[in-house]
This record gives sequence, structure tokens and C-alpha cells, in this order.
Amino acid sequence: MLALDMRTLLAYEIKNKKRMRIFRLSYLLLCFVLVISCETVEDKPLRYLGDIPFSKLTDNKEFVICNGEQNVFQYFNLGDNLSFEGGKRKLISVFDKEYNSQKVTKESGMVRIRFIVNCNGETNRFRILESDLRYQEKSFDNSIINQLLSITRSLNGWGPKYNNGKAVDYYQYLIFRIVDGQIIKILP
Amino acid sequence: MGQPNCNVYLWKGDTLQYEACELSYKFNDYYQFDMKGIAILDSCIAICPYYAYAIYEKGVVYLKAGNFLGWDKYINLAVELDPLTYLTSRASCRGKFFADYAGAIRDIDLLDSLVSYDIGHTHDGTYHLLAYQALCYRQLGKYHKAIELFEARIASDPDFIGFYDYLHLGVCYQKLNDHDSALACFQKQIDHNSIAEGYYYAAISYKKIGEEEKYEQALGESLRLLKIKQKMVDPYHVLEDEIFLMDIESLKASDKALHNN
Repeated sequence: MLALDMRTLLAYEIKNKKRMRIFRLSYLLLCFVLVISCETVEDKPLRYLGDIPFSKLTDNKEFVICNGEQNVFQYFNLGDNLSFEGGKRKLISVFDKEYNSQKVTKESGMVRIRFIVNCNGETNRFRILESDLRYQEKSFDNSIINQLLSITRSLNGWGPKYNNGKAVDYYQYLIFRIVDGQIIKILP
Repeated sequence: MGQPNCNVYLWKGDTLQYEACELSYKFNDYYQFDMKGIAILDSCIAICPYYAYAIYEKGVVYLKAGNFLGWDKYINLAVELDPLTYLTSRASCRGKFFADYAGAIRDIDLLDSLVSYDIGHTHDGTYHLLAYQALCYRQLGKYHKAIELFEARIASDPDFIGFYDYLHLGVCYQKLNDHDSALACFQKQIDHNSIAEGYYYAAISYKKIGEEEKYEQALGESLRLLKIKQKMVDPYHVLEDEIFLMDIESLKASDKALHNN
């Protein structure tokens, strides 16, 4: 009887262990699937230096890259530098009007804001880079960065660029050379 | 920057640079920004840490993306390894891409002090480096120095004047209200390379000296040339003194405002 009970117990334990093993494997598989599905475009290695993958923290998910992430040009690829309605003079006039140098810290350096202009002339995926005037990394006060970013975001007049007659998406940047809080030059 | 002839390194007995140089040709199989191409440059540098060409080319990608941090790191290394080859590029790119006119001036002076021959042209060939230095001085507001350098450069090689040298010199004179000298320069610009900007700035000087009819003619011609895109051009940057339709329209609008008053 005891032997039968032991066999029963053993059989039960073996069955339970199998169930536990299956359960553990299923759990691990579920975790793996969840991790993979959480991977964003940001985690994938860059195709080109300077590519700006989507970030759910900062970017508009409604922003459409017309021809796909793999086909975004650089602004200079099509030979006509800045494509802004009215030209650079117009772009400068927007900053002259909107940027308030009275309300900023008296810092100097360079700020680059780089972004994508899509085939409809809409913009998104703004990213910032900062340095002092000796090309060393630096962080500007928000009184400067917030203004520059806000005005750049609001710019309305980016022209489409064309490749073989088709409107393309392209990376564009603006570099602000700042001295004592004043914008003294905008490039390109 | 042209690719080096790798046999030079072999001739010098520098097999490390030779090997890195041979590998660097594969970079041309990729679009310049392609990470696979950049990995080739990294491999070249791993083979030969003093192979300046690969270091320089890596910096160029950062430069074209407006990444001053990355560019500065690599161009400085390239200049350290081979100043005679890469100071040219650092000088003109400092000015053109980052409006670092003082940095450009310093680099041109440094290069000039290291060689006894003609220091040559900017990285894109648009200006002789001494003319570019003159332009940098002008951008810093040092008009007299700029005029001195422009005039010296033009006198030293009258058969090889840059595309826009006369234009920039004319604008210098204009800023000092010497409109006769300015107009002489703009006429030379028009004779040498007829572009919308030559007529536009001439129009401004004509206006200042009260030559209304010539002002209207010059402005009209500027507009015509602008519309057919016979103007200053550069794929990367808006050049100094480059004009747009808005500039002509602003002049016309201010004329109209004056007449209405």
C-alpha cells in the first residue's frame, strides 16, 4: 500500500514538475514577446549618420514621412540649399521679430536644431545640439533653447524639394551663432 | 578632398598607411552618410591611427550634418597630423558652416606662415584663401582691412579673380559710403560674372547718390536675372551678399512708402 502510495505520489510530483516546467517556459516566452514588441524604431541601429528615429517622448506620431524612413534626403542633396518661402531673409526676419534677447541669459555658443521636412513642407523630429564658441559641448539655459525651438517649430514656409519631379522628405538644420544671448548669425 | 594615391605610402615604406589607404577606397562604394561606409573609415583608422585622410573624411560627414562637435574633433586631428593639407578645409569650413570668421582668419594666417608658396583656395574652390580671409574681416566689421586684402589679392593675380570677389569688395566700399568705388567694383563684377547680386547692390549705390534712372534700370535687371536664377549659388549655404526676391521687393516697398509720404 505504501509502495502504491509512493508511486502515486511520485507520479503526481512528476506530473506537477512537468506542469511547472511548461509554466516556466510559457512565462519566459511571454516575457520575450513583450520585450520584442516594446522595441521602438529608436532602438534599431542607424542607417545613416544623423538619422532621427521616431521618439514617442518628443515627436508627433501623426507626422508622415511621405517616402519612408529609408528615403529621407539631406537638404543639400538636391543642390539648392535652403528652400524657404521668401528665402533666408524671410527666415531671419521671423527670428528678428520673435526672439526676445532681453529675456535670456548672456551666453555664447552655437545651437543646432535639426529636423525633418516632409514632402508637404511640414516639420517634426526636432533635435538639439549645443556647443560653446570653441566647439566644446555646452548646455544653454532654457531661456534661449525654448525660444529657438519654439520659433523653429512654428516656421511656416519650408518648401518641398524635388528629385526627378517627385517631392521628397529631407533633413534640414539651422545653426544659431549666439553671442551674449543675441543671435548674430543663422546658418546655413 | 581628392583621394590620396596609396602608392606614395608604399614608396615611403609606410605599409600601415598604404593598407589603410587601400581600404579607404571602399568608402566610395557607399553614400557618404552610410554607417557602413563610416565603419570602413573606422577600420582604416584602426589599421593606421595617423591616416589623416580617413579621419578627415569622417569629420566631413559630421560637418555636412551641421554637427560642430563631431567635426571639430576629427578636423583638429587631421590638421594635427597633416596641417598643410587640412588647414585649408578647417579655415574655410569654420567660416562657411559656423560663421567662425576669427577662426578662419587665424587658420589662413597659420597656413600662410607654414609655406612659401601660394596657399590656394577654399575647400570648395569658390574663393582664393586670401580673398576669403578678406571676406571674413569684412564680416567682422573690419572694412578697411578687408578692402586692403581684397585689393591686394586682385592685384596679385588679375587673371584669376574669384566668382564674387568684386561683388564682396564693392559691398565693403558701399558700407563705407564710398559709392563711386562701390559702383566701379559692381561694374567689374557684372563684366566678370553677371549675376543678380551685382545689379542689386549697384542699384543701392545708385539710389544713395540720387541716380534714380540708373537705380530703376539696375533693380529691373537684378529682378530679371533673379527670375532666371542667374545669381549666386551654393548647394550648402546661403552665401554672403546673396539676395532673394524679398530683398528686391523690400527696396520697391520702401520706394513706394517714400512716394506716398
